[in-house]
Amino acid sequence: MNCRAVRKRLLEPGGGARPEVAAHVAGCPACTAEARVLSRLEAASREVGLPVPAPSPDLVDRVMSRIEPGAGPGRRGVLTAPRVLWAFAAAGTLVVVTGTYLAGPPGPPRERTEEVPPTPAVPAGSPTEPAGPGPQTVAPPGIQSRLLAYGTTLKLWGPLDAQANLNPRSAWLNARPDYCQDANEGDLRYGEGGEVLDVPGANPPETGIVACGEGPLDAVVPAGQALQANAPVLLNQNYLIRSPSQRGWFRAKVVRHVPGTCAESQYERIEPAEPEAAAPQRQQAK
Amino acid sequence: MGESPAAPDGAAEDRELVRLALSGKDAFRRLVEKYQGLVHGTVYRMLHNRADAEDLTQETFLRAFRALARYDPAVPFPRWLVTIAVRLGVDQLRRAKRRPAASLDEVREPAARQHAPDETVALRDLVEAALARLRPRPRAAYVLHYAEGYGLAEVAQMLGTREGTVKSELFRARATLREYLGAAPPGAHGGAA
Repeated sequence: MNCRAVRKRLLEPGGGARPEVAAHVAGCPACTAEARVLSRLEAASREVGLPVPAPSPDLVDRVMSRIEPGAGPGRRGVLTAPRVLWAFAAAGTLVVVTGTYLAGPPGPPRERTEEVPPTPAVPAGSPTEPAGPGPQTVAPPGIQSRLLAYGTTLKLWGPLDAQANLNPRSAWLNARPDYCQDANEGDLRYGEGGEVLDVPGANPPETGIVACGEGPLDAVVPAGQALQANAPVLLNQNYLIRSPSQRGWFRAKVVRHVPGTCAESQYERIEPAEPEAAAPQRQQAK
Repeated sequence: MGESPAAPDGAAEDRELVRLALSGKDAFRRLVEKYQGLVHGTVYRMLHNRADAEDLTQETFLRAFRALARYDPAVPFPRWLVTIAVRLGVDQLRRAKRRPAASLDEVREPAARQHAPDETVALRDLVEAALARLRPRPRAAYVLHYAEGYGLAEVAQMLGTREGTVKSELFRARATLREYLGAAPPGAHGGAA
């Protein structure tokens, strides 16, 4: 190995332990010096953020105070963070949050909040139809529900086990909270009513979306309809596909679909449309 | 530190506490008491901000409580908690990228941080400054692997990505840090070169 290759290896996690690298370093003063610098870098990295200050003495009490008396896990009972409510309220969004609202951590209003409609209404029949100021539980046990603000970008970590209503102006999503969080660089972008607008690199919106996580689940989002776990996937229809073996989302026609796994399914990939062609449709979707 | 801090006995205790907590919140309080330090410490080392670390620690436990019914006892409870915390931390870092954030200097307590040898402290400060330049997920991966000592597979699981992705992100992070340090005053390297 030459010095350049060795220095590249040294940057890899555990690269310095490779026998061929160690052998070169032992006989090369320059690479020895580089290895020492990186070794000190690792030592200093172990000190990053230290010492950690002790948590506030009342931290436990504050956590427990946000859990309603008698509440059980997986059911309604966790109080929504006031700052999150305030953020939504400040954005002019009518927040109808269930008692098991999947709250994001306190923080500023979400991106694009300036585009939030001032008083979005929830249509009759929606599972999140407002029923007074109190929270309303709509999600089944173990599933939590959240309202999707306009422009919300979600990142789906894995099996969705999700249900959602993507009707205009009443978008909500029920999902396992550990698999779904807001993200700045997310994969799905929702419109005014929560409808799926697009997925970066795969425009315009297709018939729906199939999300295959590591677990046995598919989620289909027919445009403007409900996101359902294990929903039927129509053959020879175009979908946006996400699978563990592929980076990001891609457009594809579903040739063969085995529920619960992308590995045994077959998709005929379609190249993303030109951005110019996608723009008018996205505008229309808004 | 890469292994779960809970000893085998602790794991059994955790399983019992989780079982009890599924019937109500009282047992959950004991879990919060037991692991608040772990969660808070992990988040703090990612964010370097005491207020954010406190907020995310609370949020972590709230989300854990809501999801407790789906907790898989095969996964060490502290690992499960840290996974939630880490993902919240990454989101927080992403949000922080969009808003003016307090500099590291504002949240430092210099006197309290001088517990390591001077040269290590100086280099650590440079590492922290360099880390602030990284994107949220590589930054989190770096802290989890090199500071917290978690293995590559554990980091990948926590961040919801593949081990190979973590490996390449760590490679790039180290290259970035090395490049950053290369421009630093010679003394900051502790005379290594």
